[in-house]
Parts: sequence; structure tokens; C-alpha cells
Amino acid sequence: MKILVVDDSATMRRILVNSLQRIGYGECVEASDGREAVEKLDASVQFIITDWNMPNMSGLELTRVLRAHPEWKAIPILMVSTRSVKEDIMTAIQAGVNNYIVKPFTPQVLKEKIDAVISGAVAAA
Amino acid sequence: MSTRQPSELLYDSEATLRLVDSAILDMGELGGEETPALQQQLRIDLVAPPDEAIGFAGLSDVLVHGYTEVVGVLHSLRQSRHQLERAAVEKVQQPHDRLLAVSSATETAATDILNGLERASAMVDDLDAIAGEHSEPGEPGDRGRTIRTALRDELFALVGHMQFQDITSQQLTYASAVLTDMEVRLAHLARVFDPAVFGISVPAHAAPPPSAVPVAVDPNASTQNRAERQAVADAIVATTAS
Repeated sequence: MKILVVDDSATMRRILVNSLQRIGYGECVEASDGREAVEKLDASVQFIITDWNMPNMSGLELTRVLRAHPEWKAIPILMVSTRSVKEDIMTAIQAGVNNYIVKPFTPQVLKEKIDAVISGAVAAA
Repeated sequence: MSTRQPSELLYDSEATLRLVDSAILDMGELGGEETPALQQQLRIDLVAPPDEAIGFAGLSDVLVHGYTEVVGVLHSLRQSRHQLERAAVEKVQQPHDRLLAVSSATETAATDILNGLERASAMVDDLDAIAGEHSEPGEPGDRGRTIRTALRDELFALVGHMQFQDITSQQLTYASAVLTDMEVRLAHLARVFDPAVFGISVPAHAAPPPSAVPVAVDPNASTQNRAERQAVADAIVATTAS
């Protein structure tokens, strides 16, 4: 499964990719903000992991753009963010993210949420 | 990152705020409504009828006295303006620059550490390969393999801990944005005193940035209570899904 990792922090992208490889998802493509993510999206991308706070286009905006797009409206989106206020998480879920991880995360939580999103997507299909 | 930077920042911020408070207080005392006593004194000095009839010579004294008072007020205003400019340019700019430098340094350090951790992981892989070359078929699992596995897990855990860099970087960026905003506000406050009126030249370096740059950061970013905060997210996701 090819995963698009979107985060403006190079350190975080590296940690995410490293963690994904460790839990069995070796094929990743990276973007530093929502705008670059949209540019890099193609049919081979099957899953998106995105940060919230980013310049140019935030993860929340990216989610809304994709959910309004006929081709990408069903792509699984997992948000990984430092934001942990209830209202923020509600906003993210309402915008269309499938699951939510609060930073700092552990690889176990990352795997658990990816699996949950995939199984949910399969169940919904 | 040492704890010295935030404490210095707090100290500088507090000093800046005290300076602003003092400057505003000075302004109030010089012309504000808060100090009727001074105004009353000036009024008495300037317009109260003297005990004796004022001749031309007496009127001249009153005018000279009034002029002296006005000059004193203008001098105090100049000083207040100077203090505000200093606060905007020096007291705020220095911590702002320091914060940016610290943020940049932590990112560079994090990259170096991640490079090192990846090299170390690759070495463990090499050790695995070498051990595999020398092992005999059917040989029981050796202690070396157990240690290599444990070492790889430790290295991987360290990679995960590097998330602190992103979180502290967000906090530093937010603090820096607050300082930028404070700098802009202080500079504008200083300009309340029109240089043309008071004959004050504005140093070029006192010009504030056009506006505070909007930053994409979470001011509440934290490394604390990860499990509790994740539980909140999980509960919301579960509620929404059901």
C-alpha cells in the first residue's frame, strides 16, 4: 500500500516514514504541505497520513478539498497532530478524517489506527 | 535544549512589559486624566490670579514658568518615546532572534541524530548478516541475535522520541510570533509621539516589520500526557463512528 505522508516538519516526515517501514508499509511518498500533497496525489496513493498545522494548505483544508473531490472523496485519511482539544478533534472528524492520532505517537498506535481505518474502509465498501 | 533560553525569554518579556507599563504611566502622569493633581498644579501656576496685580514683568515670569513646564513635559515625552523604541527594537528583538536560532539549531541537531540512528540501525543489520553467514544450519538461537534485536528496538524507540523536536519547535515558533506581535505594537505605540512635532529623528532600525507573519503552529503542543490525550481522540472517533 502506497502512503502519502504530509507534514511540514522534515523531522516528523522522517519519523513517520521510518515508523511506517517498521510496521510493514515501505512504500511512502512525502509532501511538506497540503498544496504539495494535492500535486503529488495520483491513482497509486491508497492512504494519506497528514499533519494539521502546515503553511500554504493545512491538513484540515486538504481533507476538505479531497472530500469534495469526486476522485479522492473516499481515500482514507489519518490525521496526526499535536492538537488535542476536543473541539479541534471534532472539527477534524467532521471535515472527513477517518481517524486521529495525537502527537507524540508510538508505532503501535500508528499501526492500530491504520489497521482500523483500512478495516473500516473495507467494511464500508 | 537548555532551560536557560525560556527563562531568559520570560525575564526579558517581563522586563519589556514593565518598561511599557512604566512608559504608559509616565505618559499618564504627563498629560493624562489619571493625574489631576499635576494638571491642577500647572493650572494654578499658570492661571491662578496672584495675590498682587500682575504687571508686564509678572506676566513675563508666568509665561517663562509655563514655557519651562512645557519644555519639561516634552522632554519627558521624548524619553518615553525613546524607551518604547528601545523596548521594541532591543528587548523584544533579541529574544525573538534567539528563539529562531534555537528552533533552527534543534532541527539541525534532530537531523544529525536521525542520521546517526539510521546508520546505527544499518550497522545492526550488517551484524545480523555477518552472524547469518557464520551460523550453522540447525544451530540454536544465539545470545548475539537477542542483543541485536533489542538494540534495533532501542534505536527505533529513539527515532520515535525525536518527535519532541517538532513539538518544541512549534512552541518556540509560537513564542517567537508573540514577540513579533509585541514588537509591532510597541513600535506603533512609540509612533504615537509624532517625531515631526518633537523634533526626534527615528532610527532606521526602529522600523517595525509590516505585520506579524501568520504561523501554522499549535500553541498547546505538548509532549505530556500522550495516552490521556489519545484516549480523548479515540473516544470522539468512536462516538462519531457509532
